[in-house]
Amino acid sequence: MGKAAKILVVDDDPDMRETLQIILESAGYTVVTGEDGEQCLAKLKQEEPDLLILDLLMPRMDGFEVCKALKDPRHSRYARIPVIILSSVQEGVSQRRYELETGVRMDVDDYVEKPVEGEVLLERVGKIIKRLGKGA
Amino acid sequence: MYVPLALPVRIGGSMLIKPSINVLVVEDDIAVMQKCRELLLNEGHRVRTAESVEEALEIIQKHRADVDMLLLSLELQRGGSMMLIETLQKARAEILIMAMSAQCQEEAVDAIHAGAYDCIRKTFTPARFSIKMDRAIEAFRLRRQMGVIRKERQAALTRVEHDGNLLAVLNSFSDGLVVTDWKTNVVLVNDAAAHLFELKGKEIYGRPVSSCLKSDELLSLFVRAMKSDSSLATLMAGEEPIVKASGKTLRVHVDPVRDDAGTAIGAVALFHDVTKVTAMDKLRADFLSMVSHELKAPLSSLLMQISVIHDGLAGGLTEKQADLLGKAKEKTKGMITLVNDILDYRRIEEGKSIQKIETIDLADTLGRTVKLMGLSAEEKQITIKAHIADDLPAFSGDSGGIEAIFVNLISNAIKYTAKGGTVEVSLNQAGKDIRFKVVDNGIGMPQEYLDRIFEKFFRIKTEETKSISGSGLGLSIVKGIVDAHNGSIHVESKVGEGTTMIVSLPFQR
Repeated sequence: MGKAAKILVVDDDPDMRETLQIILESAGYTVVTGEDGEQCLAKLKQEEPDLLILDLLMPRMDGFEVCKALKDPRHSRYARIPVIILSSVQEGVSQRRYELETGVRMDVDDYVEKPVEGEVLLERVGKIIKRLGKGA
Repeated sequence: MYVPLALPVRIGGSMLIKPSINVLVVEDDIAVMQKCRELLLNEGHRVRTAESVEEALEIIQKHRADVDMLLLSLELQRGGSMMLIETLQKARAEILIMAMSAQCQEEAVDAIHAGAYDCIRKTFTPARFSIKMDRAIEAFRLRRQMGVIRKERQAALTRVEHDGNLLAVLNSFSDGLVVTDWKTNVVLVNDAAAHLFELKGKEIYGRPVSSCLKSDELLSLFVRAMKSDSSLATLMAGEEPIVKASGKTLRVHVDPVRDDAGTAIGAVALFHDVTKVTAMDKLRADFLSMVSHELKAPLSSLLMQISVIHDGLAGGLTEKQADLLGKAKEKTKGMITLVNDILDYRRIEEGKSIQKIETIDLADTLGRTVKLMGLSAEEKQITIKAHIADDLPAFSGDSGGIEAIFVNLISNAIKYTAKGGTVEVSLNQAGKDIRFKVVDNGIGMPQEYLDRIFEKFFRIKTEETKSISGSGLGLSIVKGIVDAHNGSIHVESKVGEGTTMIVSLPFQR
């Protein structure tokens, strides 16, 4: 079996981080965490994860700003990393409205709405990891 | 001489029963005066006589209501005929004046200019006299009718001004009061209203209400109030638009003013200050939104924690533990649904009021929306086809609201269409409206539900829709926004074939 994929989970809620970690590790992934946008960028550099699961609403530096930063040439190394957004807003209208309202085009791979069922999260993660050609 | 009273007379072959009127003959030539008198009495009219202008004025003053017509010589020895005509005109006595002179030349023209109706030569024959008088009486009757109508309408409203006590009461209201006549000219303004709209004293009386209140919307309210039959009145009863003046927020209510016969003779508007109330409402609403948002995060966390344990990811579970946790999970889900409902309800409320009006490039907005929705369409292998006209006129409205309409309808089309289906989106001009159309070939809806789909929380529950998630609020949000823009939304659908949604919005608000 190949090296297990490493996933960086960033959310300001420690309970959410813990829960997501339990779910992902139960499927065999390696998990590292961060609590806001700044830590996110630091850990990207440090840990070089295969996938980023990113909360939107965080203090100090939020998910929107992280997405913007990833487009910055200084972070070009991590620009290609697949991103799953953790949205606390209901799917459908409001989700897309975030983008329309903020004008931030978020080149992300997926949106997942909190609270998310373990199964659903693993399915979405699995799809992306498969694309990367890595195992779990 | 035989003098019959009111008699039927043959004129040109047809019979005419003539009404009798009160005539005042002003003539100092006794012969002429007597001739007139006789002819008039013959016709059944009532006659008074005067030999001078002074006498005539005395009689008019004494018997105001009893003088309908004046038969006035322009050749009085003591003169004054022209002055009499002018005086009566100025006083709006509404007495019809028939002048008399020897030749009816220049003096006749002057008299008619001054207000006389016609002139008759003193050398008249009875037949000629008859014809001239008939014409005059007809004119008199018509004028009377018009005068009566006018008086009726004016009387009720202008009388208010003269009643000092009533005025004192009205000026004590803290609500602003504005009354208009049937032409929407201002008739009465109380102190509170004068203060609110910065109106100075009596200068607004008689002026159109729109110039004082500077609001076309208010003008249309007044006009509608007066046109109202009962059905329109009921419609208006629910309308209490908000206007802003002098930094205050005011709620307006306009009612028609009716006379005893039920005819609308004007309108009355009451302006109630709701500044504090509105501010508090907003605070309360914002608080509600804020709390709901704040509750959502910990509830989500909680649910996930319970789920993780329930799924066995934090160690083995006894059956009993699994059972209890399962129930806890359901309860928590219920709370999250409730919080979401509150947040959605708030979204609808906000959607109903237009936040900001600006010029929107509809083609661009729709284009971007379609691109964004492409993601979810792709997941189901659904093709989105867009036909956006490139010559759309400028549109002004609430941009967030318009985007919500686009997103909601396209999202629904995708949700309710099976894999491999098609969604066609079009945007073009249709007359005075912008028309936005979404056509899908999805599962469609049964006819009996079509007029319920815009209800809050209403969702059609069938086998097929069971697995489709949604709060049932999308369409009620769309309807609220469409209504706020004075537009309309129309739906056609056939089960198994698909649904078409058409939104029409006037591009001039």
